[in-house]
Amino acid sequence: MSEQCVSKLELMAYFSGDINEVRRHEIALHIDQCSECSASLESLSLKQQQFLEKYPIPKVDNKKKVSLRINTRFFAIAASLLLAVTAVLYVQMNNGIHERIKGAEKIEMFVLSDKNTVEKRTSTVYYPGERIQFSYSSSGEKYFMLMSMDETGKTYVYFPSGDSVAMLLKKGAGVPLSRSIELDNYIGMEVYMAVFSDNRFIINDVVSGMKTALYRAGSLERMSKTLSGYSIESFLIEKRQRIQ
Amino acid sequence: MVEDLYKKYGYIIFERCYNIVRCEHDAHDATQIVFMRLLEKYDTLKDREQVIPWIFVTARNCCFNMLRDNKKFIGAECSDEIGISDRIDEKINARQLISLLFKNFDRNVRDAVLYTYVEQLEQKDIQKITGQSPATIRRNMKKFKDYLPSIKKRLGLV
Repeated sequence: MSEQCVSKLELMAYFSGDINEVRRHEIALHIDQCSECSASLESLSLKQQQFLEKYPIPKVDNKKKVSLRINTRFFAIAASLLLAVTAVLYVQMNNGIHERIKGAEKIEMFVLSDKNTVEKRTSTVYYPGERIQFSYSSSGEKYFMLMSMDETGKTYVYFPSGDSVAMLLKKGAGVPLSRSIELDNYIGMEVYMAVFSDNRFIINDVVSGMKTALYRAGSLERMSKTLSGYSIESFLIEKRQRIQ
Repeated sequence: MVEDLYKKYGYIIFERCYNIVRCEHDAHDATQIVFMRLLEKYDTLKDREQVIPWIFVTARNCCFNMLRDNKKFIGAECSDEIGISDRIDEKINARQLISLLFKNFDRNVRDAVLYTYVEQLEQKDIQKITGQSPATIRRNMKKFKDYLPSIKKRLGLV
């Protein structure tokens, strides 16, 4: 192991995504060239997978109440955990990452797998090069745009493409958008926002509103993803370097 | 969010706990406690680079509390050994080492030894977790090494 090798603590931080962009980039470059660090990262990933298979996330089961292995020593703690999980899930469902603000519009995000099948991913982790596809349902004609924003405030508008005003969507259920989106090489958090409105609107008004929200909140997780007069559905994802 | 955090940190927490309690059953119990604390604390950890050091500290506290409450190691016996110097043949049973650390040394020495020998961290990593400067880490390691001959004698290793 050379002096430039990544320390154990940093490797864990890199693995969990808790590291600043500059250092993340440096580590990624180093790992590409260092078989020892690459093997350490792979080992960590493998052990994590084995751990999750053996000890999956605690789930609430109505019949058994809790599928965790509970002993009496930790009963109180487990009960608190259950309460915390319920509270967080409740908040998440109502305010959180994958939210609908108002209206009868709905949009869903799918991943196109290597085998050309479409799947709905349960986790928020995605990888560069993956293709995502959206489908919408709307009870009436709506003006619409789809944009993404990363942690640095960089935005990209996918729908409509190259137009300054929102596109008109016809009513329908589960209608796929006309093309899929290939995820670029940016590593970190990104939010995809589907914006609906009854009225025709200027794309830049929404983009600048979202940039202001990010600037005020300081992070994509905390930023408000609502704008007066719009119905917005957001998908917060974390793009990670794929481990070879 | 809970699921994501568990996927991200579950194994990292578990490994820290296992390295101390040396029993999968107890490590899993400790993991639940540490993960619950992480859920409570996560939003206040604004600097995400502090999450992993926080896990090390909380897992250590939680596991040493378990050892204190149980007075001894519980669960199945564990015979894995840990190197305690640069000499490859100088090894000690992991449980014996942790038990001795727990009984005979203050927290600073305990941390320095735990993170050096058990977690095999570099000094800069230990500094991030404990706040001990490299000089303090060396001094605490020396305290341990000075005491080592009597430890080995008591364990019947010499």
